[in-house]
Amino acid sequence: MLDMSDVYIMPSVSEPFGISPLEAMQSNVPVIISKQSGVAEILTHAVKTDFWDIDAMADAIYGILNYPALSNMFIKNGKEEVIRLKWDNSARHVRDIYYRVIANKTY
Amino acid sequence: MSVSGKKAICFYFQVHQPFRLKRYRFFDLGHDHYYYDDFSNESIMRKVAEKCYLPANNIILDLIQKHKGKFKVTFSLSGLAISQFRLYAPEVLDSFRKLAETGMVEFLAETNAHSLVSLKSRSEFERQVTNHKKMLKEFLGVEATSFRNTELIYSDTIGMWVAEMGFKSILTEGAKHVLGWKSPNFLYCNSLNPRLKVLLRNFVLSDDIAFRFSNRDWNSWPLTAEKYASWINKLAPKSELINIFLDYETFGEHNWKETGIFDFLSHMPGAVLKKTPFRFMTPTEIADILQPVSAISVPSPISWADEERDITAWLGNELQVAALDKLYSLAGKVNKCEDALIKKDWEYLQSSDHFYYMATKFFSDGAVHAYFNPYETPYDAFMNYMNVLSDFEIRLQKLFPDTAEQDQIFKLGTQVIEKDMLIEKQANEIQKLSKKIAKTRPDMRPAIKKSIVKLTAKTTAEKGLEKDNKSLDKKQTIASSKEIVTKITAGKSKSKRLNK
Repeated sequence: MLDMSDVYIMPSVSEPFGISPLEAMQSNVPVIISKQSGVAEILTHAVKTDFWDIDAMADAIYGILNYPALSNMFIKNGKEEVIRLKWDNSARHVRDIYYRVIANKTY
Repeated sequence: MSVSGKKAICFYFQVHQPFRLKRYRFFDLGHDHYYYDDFSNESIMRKVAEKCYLPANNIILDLIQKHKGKFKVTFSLSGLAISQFRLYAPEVLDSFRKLAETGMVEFLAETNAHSLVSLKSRSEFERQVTNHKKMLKEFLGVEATSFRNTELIYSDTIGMWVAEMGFKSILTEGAKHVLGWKSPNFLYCNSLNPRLKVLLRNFVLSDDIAFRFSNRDWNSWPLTAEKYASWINKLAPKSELINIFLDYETFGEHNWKETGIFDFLSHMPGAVLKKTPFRFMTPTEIADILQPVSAISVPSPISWADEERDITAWLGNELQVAALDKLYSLAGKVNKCEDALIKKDWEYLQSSDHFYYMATKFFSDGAVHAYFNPYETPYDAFMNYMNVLSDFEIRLQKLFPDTAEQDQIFKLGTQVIEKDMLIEKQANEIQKLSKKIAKTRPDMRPAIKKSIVKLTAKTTAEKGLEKDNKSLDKKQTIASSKEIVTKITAGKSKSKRLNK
């Protein structure tokens, strides 16, 4: 399904996280997501629009379909970005914060 | 050490403001041909004029009068900046004109649109530089003899083009990877055409003012005119030429008035003249007076942007390359065209700023990029620019179709217009002849009148027919207009016969 797609759009009014755009990026599909989704906070290489701004959304679809350079950039950078999203990295980040706090402790 | 025994210091300021684009959706394609965000262009221009251009120009004018011929500065005003001054802040242009009249200020030529054309096409580059020279002559009354390219982009080839256009010197960045062990504090010349002198920016001393001046964490803060002059003096035994090249907005905009930047500016020339052996000179003077120490080889383009000092700020990713390629693929058509509006848009769309906004270096580090950027992301910038460019292309397409079919329609269209003109001409002739006939042969008037009425009716009928056809089929129109022409020629000979 994703393989046949040119663009993936998640126009959610509200979305706690939204893992499906990550699946799309993994399958080399450029994604458009609403700013109101949780996943918008961690993604850089995706078009983010307000869920009510259908003009912006339409514009983004047109852009991705018509300007191959744009679509290629999204595919390439998106894939890299999504591969970097791992629990290992998050866990390491949390552990680093703990270490830093412990190192700075003042009694 | 010094060949000529003279030591020079050159202060140069870049003045440029782009025409920022408004949000242009693809819904606007083909309908809306106005691309600019007037509100932000005007408000930014007004703000910068009040905070920077006007106060700084006043200080410089005072300094020139105070130091009586010893203080000289150099400016480059891009054509777009001049256009914006004319639109939103004419008093700034007046104050630059006042500076020009003192004779102590040199204005440099550049590409009119502050464009990246030097990386693309020589002929277009030369056209833009010539336009800019004309603009300087018209609005400031000066003849430019030295050159600086957009954002100090320079390579051996660009230098050669500039030399062949007759300029004496060019300004560029003293990039470390180009200089190697050499010092930027000497005069160099172009390696392909040694007649062109190359001035290299001393980026340490320049950035001390531009970026570090108001940074309180910097160990030399606060920077005073005396301290700065003493640093310059330290360089004196081993240098002949110090080039301080800055954005003019450094004064009052990047460093606010409260940081004391204007006090620094007003005291610095006095301190430099008193404490150092350096004398203020402009690039053309430097080219005439100083001797170059060697040629400098710059095979690939350098600029003054970012840490890398290369062109990746404008051409660093796929988006920027695609956009620039698309832009200059239109150059041929624009040059065939005489439409003033198209020419203007063509110029405004070329400014390097549009490409700067698309830089993805912005994602990693890019405080400087972010500061000037009206877009949220580079992707946004790209989409907006490409939409505008697509509309521009549609407009050009209408004027200059490129497929064979479109081309034929276009050619037939012109033929129709030509035929129209011919018809009109001959109709006039008929009228003239009929008047003549009426005069000479009053006895035959009724008969002639009859035939003329017939003829005119025919012409008008066929004109109407032609109008209808225009929208239907051009080829038919041609055939019918040809018919009309033959008919009219027949009519003409008929009336001639009648005349006899």
